[in-house]
Amino acid sequence: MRLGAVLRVVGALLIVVSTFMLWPLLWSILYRQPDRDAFIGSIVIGYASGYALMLYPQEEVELRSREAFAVVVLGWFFSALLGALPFHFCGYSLTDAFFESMSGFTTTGASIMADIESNPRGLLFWRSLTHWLGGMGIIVLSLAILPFLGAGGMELYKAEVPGPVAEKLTPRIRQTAMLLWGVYAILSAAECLLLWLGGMNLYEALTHTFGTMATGGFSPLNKSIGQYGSAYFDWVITLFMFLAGCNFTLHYRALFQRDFGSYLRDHEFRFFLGVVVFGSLSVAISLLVHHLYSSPLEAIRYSTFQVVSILTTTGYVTADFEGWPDYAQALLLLLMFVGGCAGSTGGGIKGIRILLLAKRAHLELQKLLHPKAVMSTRLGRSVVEERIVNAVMVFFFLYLLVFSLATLAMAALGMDLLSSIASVAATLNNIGPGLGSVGPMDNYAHVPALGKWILSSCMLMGRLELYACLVLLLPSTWEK
Amino acid sequence: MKIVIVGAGNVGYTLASYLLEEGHDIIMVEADDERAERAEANLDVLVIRGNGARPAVLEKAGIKPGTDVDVLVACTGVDESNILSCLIAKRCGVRRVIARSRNLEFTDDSFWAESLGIDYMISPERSIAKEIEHVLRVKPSTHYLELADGRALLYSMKVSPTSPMVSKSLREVGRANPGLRVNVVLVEREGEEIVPNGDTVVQAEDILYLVTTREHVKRLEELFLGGKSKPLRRVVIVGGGKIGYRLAMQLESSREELEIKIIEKNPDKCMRISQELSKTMVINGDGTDLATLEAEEVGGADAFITTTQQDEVNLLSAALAHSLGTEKSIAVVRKMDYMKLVDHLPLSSIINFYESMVSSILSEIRSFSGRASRVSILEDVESSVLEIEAEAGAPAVGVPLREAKLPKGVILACILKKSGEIVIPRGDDVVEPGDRVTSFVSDELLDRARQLFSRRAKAA
Repeated sequence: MRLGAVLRVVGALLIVVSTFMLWPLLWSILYRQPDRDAFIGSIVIGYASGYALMLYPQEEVELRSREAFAVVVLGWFFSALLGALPFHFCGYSLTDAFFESMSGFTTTGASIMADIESNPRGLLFWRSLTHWLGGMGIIVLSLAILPFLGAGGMELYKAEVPGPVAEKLTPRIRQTAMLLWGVYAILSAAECLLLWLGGMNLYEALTHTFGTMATGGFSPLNKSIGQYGSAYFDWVITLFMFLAGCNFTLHYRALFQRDFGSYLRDHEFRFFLGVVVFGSLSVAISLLVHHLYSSPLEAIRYSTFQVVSILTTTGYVTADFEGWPDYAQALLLLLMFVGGCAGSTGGGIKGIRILLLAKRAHLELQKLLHPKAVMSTRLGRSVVEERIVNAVMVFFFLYLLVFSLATLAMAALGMDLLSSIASVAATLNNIGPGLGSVGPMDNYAHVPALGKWILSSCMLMGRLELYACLVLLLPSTWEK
Repeated sequence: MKIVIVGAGNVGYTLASYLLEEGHDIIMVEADDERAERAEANLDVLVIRGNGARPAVLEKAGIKPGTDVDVLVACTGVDESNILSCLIAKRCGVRRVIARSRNLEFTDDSFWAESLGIDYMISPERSIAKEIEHVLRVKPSTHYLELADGRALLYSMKVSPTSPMVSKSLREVGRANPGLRVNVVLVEREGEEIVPNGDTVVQAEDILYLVTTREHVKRLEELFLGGKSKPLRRVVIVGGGKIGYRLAMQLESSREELEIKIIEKNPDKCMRISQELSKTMVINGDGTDLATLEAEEVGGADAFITTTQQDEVNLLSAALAHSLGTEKSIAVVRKMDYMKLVDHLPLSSIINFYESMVSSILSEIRSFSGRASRVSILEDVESSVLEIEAEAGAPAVGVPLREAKLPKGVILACILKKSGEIVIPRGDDVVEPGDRVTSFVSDELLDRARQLFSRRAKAA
């Protein structure tokens, strides 16, 4: 491990993040808010530390895979730390500030704020902006705007982009990164416009767009999207949550190559769509059976919103699903783990992994019947390499392991069983609201300090899909 | 430009890494997982997995009617597949297609390339046999490379302790030999690289990289050796594969009477080549076997070249011959990494199987794209040969070189005038617009060197 090379890139990331802090500073000045100095201070600290790290003497070297892992994990950690400064300067404890910032960058959306609207506008804007930066990824963003990252960039890209295989769209990694951010920005602009046309002011349209497109879930309003009670907003946001949960490669094909058929040809997309349709309908039926909503249209509207929000790991809520039938609650808890598609901004295990695991299980059963048969795992007609299937199975095991250990730790800290399970599920899968004491109408302020740090690391592990984080725990990674 | 490379083996991989530096977008096609992964992990390229001779696979790499791909290089190890890839690409409208051919019959003359509609066909076996022959013939040399379409030659030569140049500065050597047109572009001393100037003092065992023209080579040889050089008489080749066979054939056709031996392990192969080669003695034996080498009096040979398929065998066998007393032992290797061993093994030189072919392909692509570029790398040094067309208005064009103030680390090797004349420049020579300038540049100065001769170099 050549730490110099790692720190240099981390420094560059901090500068990128600091530059984006100018945006909330603008709102803060515009609305004459008390958080102006907090941002000025954070920006100064961010630039200073970023440049200091970049000065670290060393030659220009290509990053090897172990260094790429370190860059991604340390980059995310320090970005979250830098992002926590404005919260800290506005009076939150460092633990709370870091939790909130990590929750933002990892697009989790779990909050320690009880009365959101009492916070200054700049700070709330920053909170949502961290979502947007973390959604498509700060590394991918840096790959797009910092040319010197090109060499060895594929390793960085692979470590940040969700899913078992990171796909390149163009020969150059930089071009791919630009295109992905381009697609992301276009979809964001479209949503923002639709929300604004529907009557939101620009500030709220932007913050809600950030929360949606990044599958984050922070809202500057106390009662989230539910506060509007508007069917139009519900459906627009449902649509864009769904789009954000798809693989952005498919959006690229549709937008830039006019190949709309690629959606339906994609097996993961079909699975994702199937889960959305099944989940929304079955929850709607259970809501109607329990007479929670009188009209089927309303039941569908609320069930679809909650199902898409949880499945894509966004975490916006328009209804308190803790009052819903047990079937609906159990389904939502399970959907938390499924998550969006590979290459989306969502968290969770991802549709493609679930599909591959199911196919592999089917194959294993077939082999019991035909011991001599030669078979391989297939997605449609294309064969999936054994190496990838193995990585997926190990991923699944590690996911459950981290989930169980973290749940155990939360319970040891004195939380009740449901809340322990739900808080870890909601953070590891980057959703936000869980069940029990961390339900959709509650927040994470009451979680003990140590628990907040555990959940923060769950968020990071979930966003970076475990491997990068766990590799750094091996001592041999740090060998000179 | 958009370039598709079929085959991510040693040639394709090396080619891609140089083309990337020149700013091209590269798509590689490779069926083998391990090679595909190596390229994916280390190079900023898009890798398509599959057989590059299939239209469906090439289509994924963007080669379909109306394609925007400019160049296709097919460099797998299979001729049929390379030719097929090129045919498909040409039909789809790729402007320039280049094929590697293992079978030397395709590259004997340009007939096959022309009739197949392939713009350029090249065999590494042919280019390496040529390189080896030059290194053999010029006794002190360890490497050879052609510059400016073969009109100027780049040699690396070792200074013998008996050379009259020892403990003299380069300026003094130049004064003592008026009329000798040669530019020393790099000095290698005990593994360190020194950028030379007039005050650099030559020491015994230094390796000097120099650029010259054909007529000066003989005098240089004597200067480095210090005395008349014996002509080449006895040559032993280990390995009767394509390179060994080709080299023996070339040596057989030369004017002098040479005594050539080939040592080959495989009896069938021995039989075949002994029928083809009339003046060469073919010996069935193992090149790493001391008894065989002693029996063939390898110690007394003027030159010993190992050309088997296995790098390790070649290196060991060459080192063994050196210890027996062979004057010059040369090992051919395929793996680039082994080039670094030259300072650590007792042998005269290590020649990379692909290097001369890769430089030829690069040069071909360069002249097609019209872009200033790095032509070649000498594998064991950290400098590049830069070939560039001088443009009017660039800072170092139109003024005597003495006044152009080239930075230390940029050495002008030769100038190919528009008239076709080759000039090994001195301080009072002037680079004129349209001249092709070849210079030797430290890697970190490549961009600055480009800007000295070209105004739009920044955009490249």
